[in-house]
Amino acid sequence: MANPMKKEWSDWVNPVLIKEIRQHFHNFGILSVMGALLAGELVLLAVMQYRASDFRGSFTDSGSIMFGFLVGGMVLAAYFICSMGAMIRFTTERRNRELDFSFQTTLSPNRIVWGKLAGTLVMTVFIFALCLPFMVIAYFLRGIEMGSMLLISLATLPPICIASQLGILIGSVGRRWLVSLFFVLSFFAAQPLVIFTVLLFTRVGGVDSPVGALLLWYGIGGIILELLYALSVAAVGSRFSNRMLPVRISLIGVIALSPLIGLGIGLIADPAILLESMLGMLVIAASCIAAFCATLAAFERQDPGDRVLRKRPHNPIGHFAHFLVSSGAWGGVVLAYLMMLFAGATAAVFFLLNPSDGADLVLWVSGGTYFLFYANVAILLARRWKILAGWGWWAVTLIAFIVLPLLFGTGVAMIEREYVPYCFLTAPFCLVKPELGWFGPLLAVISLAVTGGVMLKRRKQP
Amino acid sequence: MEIKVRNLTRSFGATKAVDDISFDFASGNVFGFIGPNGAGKTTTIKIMTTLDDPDGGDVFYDGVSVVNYPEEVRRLVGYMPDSLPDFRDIQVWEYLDFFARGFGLRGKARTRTLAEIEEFTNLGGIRCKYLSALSKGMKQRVSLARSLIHNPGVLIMDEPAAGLDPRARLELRSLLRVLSGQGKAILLSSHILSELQDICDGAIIIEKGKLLSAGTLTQLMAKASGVAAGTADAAPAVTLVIQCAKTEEARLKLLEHPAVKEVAIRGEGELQAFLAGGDEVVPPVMATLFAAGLPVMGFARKSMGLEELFMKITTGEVQ
Repeated sequence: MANPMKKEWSDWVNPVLIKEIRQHFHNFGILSVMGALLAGELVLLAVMQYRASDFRGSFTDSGSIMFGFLVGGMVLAAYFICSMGAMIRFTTERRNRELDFSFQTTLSPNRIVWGKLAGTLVMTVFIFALCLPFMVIAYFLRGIEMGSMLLISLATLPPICIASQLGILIGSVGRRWLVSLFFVLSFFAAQPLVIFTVLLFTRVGGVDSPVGALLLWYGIGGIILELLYALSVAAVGSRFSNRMLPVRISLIGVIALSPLIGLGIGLIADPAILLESMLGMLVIAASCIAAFCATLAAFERQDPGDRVLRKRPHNPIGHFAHFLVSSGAWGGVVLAYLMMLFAGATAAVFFLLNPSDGADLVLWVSGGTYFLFYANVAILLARRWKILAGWGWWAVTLIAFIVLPLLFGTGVAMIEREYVPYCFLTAPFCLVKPELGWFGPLLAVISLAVTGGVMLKRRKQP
Repeated sequence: MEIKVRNLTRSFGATKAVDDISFDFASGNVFGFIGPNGAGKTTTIKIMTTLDDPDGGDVFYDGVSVVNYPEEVRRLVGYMPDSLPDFRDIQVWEYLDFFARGFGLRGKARTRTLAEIEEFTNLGGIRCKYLSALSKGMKQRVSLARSLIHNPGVLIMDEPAAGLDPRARLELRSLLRVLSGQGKAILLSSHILSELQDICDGAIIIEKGKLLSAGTLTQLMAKASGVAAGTADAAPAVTLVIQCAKTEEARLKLLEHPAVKEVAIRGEGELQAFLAGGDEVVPPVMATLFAAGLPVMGFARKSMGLEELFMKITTGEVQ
């Protein structure tokens, strides 16, 4: 007798991905963009044919020009279909909780976000497939090598994925005004992005190690994508769930992946300094991620709920690990300090290997500690006065310790320029004078002692 | 299945939308969730269906908590909201197929379940329509189909009859009867109380976030009638409307009977008598009037409607 629960091939596929693909091919807007891309490619081909005949076959750069337009068209289509499309659809779904798919089924936030991202990847493949025949024509028109075409095509993938994931993240918030804001901002961002990409692509030819460049590109892209993905999963999760778990794990993952970027840089710059390059990148990543982790901790709820605590392991190591990676401001702060300690230790190792360049890395660590200090102050204020949310107190802290000293420092600069760095002792700007690098860690240690004391005292209360 | 709502609280800023609400209901019953606009019905329903988190309290489905196990609760509960998304790029069958996959239905089991649900809710003719092209009645049927896909033991419906034409209402009522007969616990909120009266076994009445009364219709009506008749107990009570030319004489005669608790003259030639006890006290009470030779033109046993009950409870006549 046949098993009615026997899986069909489509049962192995994420339900959200199936839904997304179906919606893509019913969506008039998406089909219009695909049609416009095809029409644009045909027009481009006609123009190239006209120019080639006009120059009596001597127009030898036709292939590279056509390829440039094709890549531009591909990225633009991906922006509309993958990024904007996913954002608008997810916003519509998330806007009303009663109609929200993610709250109506037993699908986990991770499966929902992965299904959405996979849906945009499928569309990226379709867009690429639409451009591929014209890329072949571009190759035969001469002016560009097969290797460069492959490299540039591969290089377009990370920005498309990041833009798609950013769209999903913004969509997960479920606010229409954010979609409009993203649309407007993306127009402002388009010009520098295009200039940056063109500069990058024109330099790729001169780079000794294209694989290193690609590794670097994919390393940076992967890290950004991972962070955006984790934030999206956290945003889709419900208020009482362990939302920070994927975020914190991804932050640790970013630190673990950062030596890859160092490897890419080392391969491009000088293979002789590979170890220093990897260590240096590890210090920078750990400092930045520690600052980011502490900032996120200031934004989240202070005490983990029952749903989080229920899953805490009983053995001491598991208990502590769970505390570090789970929702709850205090766990985030402690994790940030551990990351910063790791960054400091790695900087020390770097300093032993290369004393001449080690001082610069110490400044990265010192700069990051300021954000630990701000997070601690914001958490303390939010615990004492509940009139503002965590992010509100964090903003107040920034105004008090960065904006006001900035204004004060501007005034002082008019009188005596030499004393200006001392006005910024509560902000990383003071690091223009490297001798003041000790002040950030000092603030971080003091604030940790005060906040920790308050937190522990509160916990002991019945 | 036993559904227990315990000390549920939810605030939005300074406003307490739900204030320490507790009630129970169980499988095989249809319970109406009644309250004026802004009473906190939708907020309570959202918490019960894991769409919102409570500030305090919990809801248990056979002991499974919505706060601690929301994913498990979603398997047990089918929620039918009062609206459906207006997507222009998803068809009815695709929409239902997504939910079937989302609840882990696989292979032939999914295909068979979808076919059965489509037949039960009569969606065969519209399965290839886009959601945006559906009428209100069609949307309600799709919404009901979606909430039944994973065969939940509990069905929670928010204003299921709102905006439906009389025919669609009758269809919905018969569907609910079938589902109740299948042993599902059904909780439905509605403003159309006459609709609820025909299908509900009980009611939960809330106002300004507080629970006013909860129980089976018999219990609630007995309570309301008992209070109206001035009885301390909540035994079943009967109200009689009697047409008689000599109202004052009839009133005095009726009050002589021990089963009559109160008599009110409603107008010229009409009295209303509140009797303690069930239907069995009606013949001896009427016999008293006939024996006295009073000109009784007619009488009717008046049962309290859900609307009257609701008004009595929400206006504070019943505590």
